[in-house]
Amino acid sequence: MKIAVASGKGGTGKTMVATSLAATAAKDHPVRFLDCDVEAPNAHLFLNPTIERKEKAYIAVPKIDPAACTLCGRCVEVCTFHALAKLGTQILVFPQLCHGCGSCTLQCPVDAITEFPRPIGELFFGTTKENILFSMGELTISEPMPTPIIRQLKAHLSDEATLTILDSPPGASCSVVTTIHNADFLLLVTEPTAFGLHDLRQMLGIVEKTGTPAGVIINRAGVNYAPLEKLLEEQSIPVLMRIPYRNEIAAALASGQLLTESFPEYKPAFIHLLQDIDRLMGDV
Amino acid sequence: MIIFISAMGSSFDSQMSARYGRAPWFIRYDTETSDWQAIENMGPNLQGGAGVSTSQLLMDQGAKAVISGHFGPNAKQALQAGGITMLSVDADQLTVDEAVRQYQSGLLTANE
Repeated sequence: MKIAVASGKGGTGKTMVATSLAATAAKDHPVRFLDCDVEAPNAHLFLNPTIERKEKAYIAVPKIDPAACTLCGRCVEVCTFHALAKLGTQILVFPQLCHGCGSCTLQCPVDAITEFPRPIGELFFGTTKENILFSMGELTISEPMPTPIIRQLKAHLSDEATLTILDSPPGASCSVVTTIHNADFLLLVTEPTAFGLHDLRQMLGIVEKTGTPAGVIINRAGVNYAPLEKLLEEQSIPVLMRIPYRNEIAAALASGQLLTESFPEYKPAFIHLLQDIDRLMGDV
Repeated sequence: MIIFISAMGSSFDSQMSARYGRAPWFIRYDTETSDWQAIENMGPNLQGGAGVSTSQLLMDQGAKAVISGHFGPNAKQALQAGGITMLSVDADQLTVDEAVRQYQSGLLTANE
């Protein structure tokens, strides 16, 4: 089973939930953890894996053979991302704008385009003391395109783990969709604030399209924020956990400790969470 | 010769736009006939690639020079490849007609 942890708003507690869930589940199952927040990966700070292997991550960008190119401009037309321009007697490629979709190569009527791999980051693989198979992607600073790295990271999913946890980037754009694509369950972490609610709505919009079964975790709970409760009730989204707002939790996380490590009283809640997800999956 | 001026609005006395790729309008001006025409730019609506897309527009419209405030790195590369001269001015202080007058009086110098 693949569980993705996402939120929309940044800083709501995705990594806190994902890492404690992984550590709790690892007691009974082989677990694989993917940190897909490749622009700012931080799960390794909590899980402390020993890194055993790394590999380069690439995006395939077009290269145009000027001898074969007839300057028809078809590649420029089909590029949604404006990574190509026809300027005078040449087609110019802007590699940093390229999403690696391959449309230009497919559409070129004279096969003047070949693709070559451009390195944009690295993947790291390791194991934690709980025996979690850990992997993370890291986008090189100044590179704008995270999705190819997430795809390459997810290509390493295999059956050796019975439970895979994907820690998603914040936001509700391409990198999040790439992360949650094909997940069996989506844990949406939110907080009782207007920002938390706004971004939760965006995530629910994505869920509506993907049809992924989902549940919500309310972090920093304690303030009664009626609009959030109302939305969850209206849309019948189950609230699977409420983590209270406590200064001591923030302090423990800031020093790199797992929630379930510094506050063992939360362990049963994470065991329950796994059971609840199993139950909800059974209902589908 | 065709020159383009980045603008905030669609009239000839509009305030200039300090941003090139994300300028909402361009005024296309013909220095020989003094004819002008406002062209809406799609740049402000794009998530990325505004500089390249705007440069493609200018290229397709036969521009030989463009007056704006700031040109981004992709825009510079595209305009250079297309042989379009860039002229940067203090766009917040100028309207389109003033920029055209300065250009025709030879007061503006091309960017390096």
